[in-house]
Amino acid sequence: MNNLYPLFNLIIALTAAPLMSGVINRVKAFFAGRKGPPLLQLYFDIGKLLRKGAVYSRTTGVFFRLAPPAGLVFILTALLFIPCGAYPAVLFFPGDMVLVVYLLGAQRFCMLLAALDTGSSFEGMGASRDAHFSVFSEAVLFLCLAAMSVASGSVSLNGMLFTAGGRIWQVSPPVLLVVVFVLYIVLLVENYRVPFDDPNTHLELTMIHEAMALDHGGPDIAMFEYAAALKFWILASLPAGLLFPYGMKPDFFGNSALFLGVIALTAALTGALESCAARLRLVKVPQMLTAAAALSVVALIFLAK
Amino acid sequence: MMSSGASIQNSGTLKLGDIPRMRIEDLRGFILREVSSGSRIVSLFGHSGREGGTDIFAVTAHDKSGRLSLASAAVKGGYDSLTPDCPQAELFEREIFEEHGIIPRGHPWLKPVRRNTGGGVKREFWRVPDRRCHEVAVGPVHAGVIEPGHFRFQCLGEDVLHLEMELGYQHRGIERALISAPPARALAYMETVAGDTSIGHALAYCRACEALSGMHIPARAQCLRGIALELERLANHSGDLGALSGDVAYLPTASYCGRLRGDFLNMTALLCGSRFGRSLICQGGVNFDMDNGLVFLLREKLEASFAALKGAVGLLWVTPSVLDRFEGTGGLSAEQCFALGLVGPACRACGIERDIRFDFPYGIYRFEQIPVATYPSGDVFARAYVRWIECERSVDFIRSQLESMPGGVTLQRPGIFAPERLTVSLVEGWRGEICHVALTDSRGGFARYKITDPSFHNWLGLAVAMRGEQIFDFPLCNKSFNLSYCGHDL
Amino acid sequence: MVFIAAALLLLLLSGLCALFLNNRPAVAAALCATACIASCLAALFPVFAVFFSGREMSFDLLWPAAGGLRLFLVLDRLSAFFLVPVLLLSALAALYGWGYLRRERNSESCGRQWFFFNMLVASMLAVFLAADGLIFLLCWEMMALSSFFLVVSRDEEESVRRAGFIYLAASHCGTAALFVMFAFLSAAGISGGFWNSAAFPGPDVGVLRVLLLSLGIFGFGMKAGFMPFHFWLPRAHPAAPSHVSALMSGIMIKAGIYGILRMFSVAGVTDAWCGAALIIAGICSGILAMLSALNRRDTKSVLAYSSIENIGIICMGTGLAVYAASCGGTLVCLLALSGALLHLFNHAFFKGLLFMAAGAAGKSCGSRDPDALGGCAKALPVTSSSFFLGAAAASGVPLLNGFPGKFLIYLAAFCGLQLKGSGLLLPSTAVIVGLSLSGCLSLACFTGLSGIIFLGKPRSCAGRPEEYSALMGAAMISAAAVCLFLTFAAPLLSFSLCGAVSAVFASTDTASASGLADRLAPLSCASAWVFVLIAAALAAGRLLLRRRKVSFGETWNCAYAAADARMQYTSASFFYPLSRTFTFFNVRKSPAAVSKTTFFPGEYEGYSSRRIGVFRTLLSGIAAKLEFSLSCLRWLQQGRLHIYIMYIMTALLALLLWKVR
Repeated sequence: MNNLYPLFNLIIALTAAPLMSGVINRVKAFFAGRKGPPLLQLYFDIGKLLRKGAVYSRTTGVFFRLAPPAGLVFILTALLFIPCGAYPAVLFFPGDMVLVVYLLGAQRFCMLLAALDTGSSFEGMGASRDAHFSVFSEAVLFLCLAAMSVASGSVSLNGMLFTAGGRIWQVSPPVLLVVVFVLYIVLLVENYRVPFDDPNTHLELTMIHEAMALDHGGPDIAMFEYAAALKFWILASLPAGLLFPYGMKPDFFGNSALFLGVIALTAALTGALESCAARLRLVKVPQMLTAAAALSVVALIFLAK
Repeated sequence: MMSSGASIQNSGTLKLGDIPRMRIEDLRGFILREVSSGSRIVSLFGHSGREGGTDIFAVTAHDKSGRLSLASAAVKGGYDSLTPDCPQAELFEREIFEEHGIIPRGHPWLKPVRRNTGGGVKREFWRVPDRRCHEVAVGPVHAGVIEPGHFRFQCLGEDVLHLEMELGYQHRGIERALISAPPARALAYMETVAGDTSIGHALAYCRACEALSGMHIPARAQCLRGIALELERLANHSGDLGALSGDVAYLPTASYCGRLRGDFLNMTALLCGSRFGRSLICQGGVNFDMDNGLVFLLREKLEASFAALKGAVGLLWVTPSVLDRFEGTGGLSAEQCFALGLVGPACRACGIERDIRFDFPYGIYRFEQIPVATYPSGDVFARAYVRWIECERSVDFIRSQLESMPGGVTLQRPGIFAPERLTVSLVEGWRGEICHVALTDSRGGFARYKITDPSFHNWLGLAVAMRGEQIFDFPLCNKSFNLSYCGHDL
Repeated sequence: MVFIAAALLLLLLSGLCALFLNNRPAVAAALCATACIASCLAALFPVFAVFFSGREMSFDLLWPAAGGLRLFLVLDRLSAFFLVPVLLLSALAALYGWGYLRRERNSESCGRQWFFFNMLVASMLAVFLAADGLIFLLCWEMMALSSFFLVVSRDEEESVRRAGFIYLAASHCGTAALFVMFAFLSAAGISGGFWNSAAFPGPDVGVLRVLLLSLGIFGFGMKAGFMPFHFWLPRAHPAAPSHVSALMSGIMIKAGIYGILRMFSVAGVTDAWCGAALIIAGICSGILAMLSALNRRDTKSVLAYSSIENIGIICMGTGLAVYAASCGGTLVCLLALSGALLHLFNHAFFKGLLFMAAGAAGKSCGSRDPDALGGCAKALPVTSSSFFLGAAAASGVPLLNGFPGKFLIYLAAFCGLQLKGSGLLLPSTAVIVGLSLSGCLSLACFTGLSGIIFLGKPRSCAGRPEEYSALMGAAMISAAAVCLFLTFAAPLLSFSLCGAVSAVFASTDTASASGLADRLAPLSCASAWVFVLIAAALAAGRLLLRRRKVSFGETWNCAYAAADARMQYTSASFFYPLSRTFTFFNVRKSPAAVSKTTFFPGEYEGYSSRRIGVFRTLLSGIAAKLEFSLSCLRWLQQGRLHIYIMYIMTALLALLLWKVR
């Protein structure tokens, strides 16, 4: 039974990930003085989209069709390596964090090519911006992973979060908080949230992520949305895993509930942040990420001391 | 001999015979002289006049001295373009070319304004002669509920090298519909010249009609017209401020201003039952009067909404991330603004005092002056901030009007138009100067009715403001100008 | 070794025949290509034997008639590891070249080209086998010369001649340094078999050792093309025909890495500074090369820069290994070097594939400027899918063979972080940052490049392009198959990898091979899993849509019906924001095309992005200084032949006098 727990956690991640978009939107609605969409809106959306047909552009070819399922598969595979609170990941091996980051990169590869496949200037614009910012965000993510690796003495995600089980905080709590902060920035930029992108915008010229999905429809867009939700879950799991209250030693269901709670808190925080900050100018995004990189380097040096 | 124009009051009339008729070269000289002495072109249009030729009428305004000058010339075939020396004539000359086939020789970018082909020239876009650059075609269908229009960007990466607009999708032929006899639906047409400026255009139209028929409007009606015009300004400015903050993904102001815009529209609805002020203004006064209860209610609502607006908009000026996006984006200098002849908040945001309510006061504004709101920096921030100052001043104005509202009737029976007259009616709508020029024929019907929406002056300003900016900032810049498509297309 | 000797002979003979078949280009091509393929396949037998068994082979022949030339060839595990890609890629390149040169207009040069091509293959084969200093240098020089002649095969173009000249000069600078190094070594009393000798001055002979190592890194680095010795590479590789570019980028530059590794195997690894230097050079190459690649307007030039980047990655791995070995991190050393070698192995194939596909696309569409192409994926299925595969591998998509090598280097760096107090923290962090930045940049670069060349709408209306030649297609398909195979076969390579590593660092044992395989196995499993899942997801998607309405329309362009090919991103536009961010390195200024004071279109000033050209500035500065200081000797230069002959005579006389003194 114990061996099956990670699988159960995986199922929880797969089912609960779209909930986070609902949490974010509800928090934003609260700040705006509105009621907001239902918490389960994304489930409804995905359900509706899956029941639709599709319209394809005549310009597009294989990549356009391939990208949504392939991207989803990459994300799903990455999810296997994410530990869930006080329970390990489904799979782990030394260096799995490198694979996880590169799987996210592979998903990006598919999305960018699918965007260019349409021959639309808007999709090209989104792709260009995404390619631009990912250069920085991935490097920052690697620096954070290096810092976590140093602090936990482990070279796998499972070791950093699950095996270390909170011992990681014994080294230097304030410095690790910096790492958590930087991970949160990575979460925002990789999930195209404010202040890096505006998930609510309807203006093609300002989009990044949405621009790349402009020509997709039906089940494809459902896969896009679901992959985005899972990606949020994956990247939120890193700071959430660090902040997880391991000391409580919860049972299986308690653990799942706690982990879900921590991730929902991350989502709520995102919603709150989106309610009180404007979006950055595009040219300032790399500057912001460079600052994050500098922070993580400082953290790394302190942790290794 | 230097030919000079005839001077005219805002909503004054002039006999057609009194308008100086010059040779076209002299008209050109007159306009250039006026512009170089600090005037600007208010309207420049052709009129298919007698004996088959085309008469060109030019109205210029000197804001500092409050002088409107008028001149005309007959032209056949073509003439030397004004645009190279006076960029603000660009769109006017293209319009004359489209409507009358008069070719402005040496016009740097001659193509039709509203139709796909006109004068045998097809509308084409300028292309950067470089394979490395790409184009972005936005529109005619836009995201969101806005009007159709096509924008063509020449870009390298995010940088905009050039922007060209192609409008005309909303062309309805309003000017032509007014010719000969004012139709029963004329006022309704006027209220929909630009749907968000119903009051402004209706007011300009009614003032032109009243001038032509020599009427005097009761003071109470003047006052109500002023209140309605300022309420329209408040509604649109607060909506724009919300949209601006929405474009930088700053939610608090965006969501509150969205609601507050509705509140101000509802105040207009209190006056006349229509949120956009339809049927409020009519020839001879206003259709609806306010009783004391309504005055009290309006004042109460105004105070409440304004307090909320102050809170919501105030956030914009203290949030660094918003200021960072607003400041330095889409900048225009005062020189550019002068050259392009911009009007309205976009112009005042370049630090130029140009406000019809102040420079050419009319109606209630003769008695209650509103100080001109300017800000020098010329960027998105300035355009937003000028809007906010105008909101404050409009509220002050409405407050004082509600306190000391003159008594009396609100409506007079309309009279008939005097024949062979011309009138120029200028109104400061929320978007800027609305200019209606009406010519009557020998039987007292309209021979020509020329509408110049502020958008007509300002579109080129937006294009110039975008040069060298990031295409990412276009929605923000566009919203900071918030120009009308149908007002331009007519 | 008989097979190898036969292969060498066959290559030389067929090459010579080709020289005489200049007026029969088709025959020459068929002869040389088949000979090259046959000899490569023949040579593969012994190479694979060593590759999988690990037993060395050697061939020693003293040739008194040739002035005591000792033909000493050794096929050990390191050689075998390098020779597998040499032989496989050479065979593929020959096949490709057969199709590539077939429709070449300038058929007179065809025989010559094939001669030099076979010479190049033969000399590369020999370089990796040579165990004697003189033979090694001879083959090295032959390799440089034959590739030079291949680079200038289109010598009617000024830019090609210039590229060839720079290549020749750079190559000879490197060779000169190597010559000095070898001369020092043989002066120390070891002639022949220098690879195995312990003649390298030990750490106690400080200055000489540092000098020799520096000379070696310079000389071999010139061939490898990592920064700052890269300047010839982006000029020479694009100028050559595509099959030659594939060989040069895929294999020839690796000879530099091979040389460096050999040097360390002889010299021992006790010098942390060497590791640090290699890491720094690697990081600079990895990042700066990709940044330079972003602004290129020639696909092959982008690929050449990407080769510098990959050499940088290999350098990072090698440097980290050397550094770790000098401070006792055995595991880190093993992982880093096997990562570097594995990446080297894989890079040969995916870069070869990319060059072939780029060349094929260029031939089919008539241009290599991405901004003139576009939308040819449907017309060129083989070329485009090959390019996409190569691009995915170069971007490090875990499904393909570009990933495992990088993964091992990452793993080494992460392991290095764990060794607290060993001094590995800084190099490991630097390697992680360098790898991730260069990786992301190449992902951005290759997605943009491949998308703009092959996807969207065609930018020029030169008609529908067609696949250029079936032979090229076959070569690309085979190369793609090798790439795919290597994705899954990475664990199988671990034995040979460890063998190659132990040839460099004697301390590693073969027992670690199984450990290495264990580390690589999850990647292969993950790749397989992802492949299966993608297929399943695609099938599921199809199934979902089976009974639904699927319609086709135009790409959404805000309802603008007359959208054309200009309304899509160009490669210049795609990369412009990214290179703008790195303004300090790349783009100096970008004047607005239409200024804000003239309102109407018509005046276009041009939108140039000027490059600072760090190296050019530096070199031209040095050159100017040199020119100034040497101008006082100008009187020597009379421009008359007899005076120069007099100089030579005087010099010879002086030498003679000095010798008989």
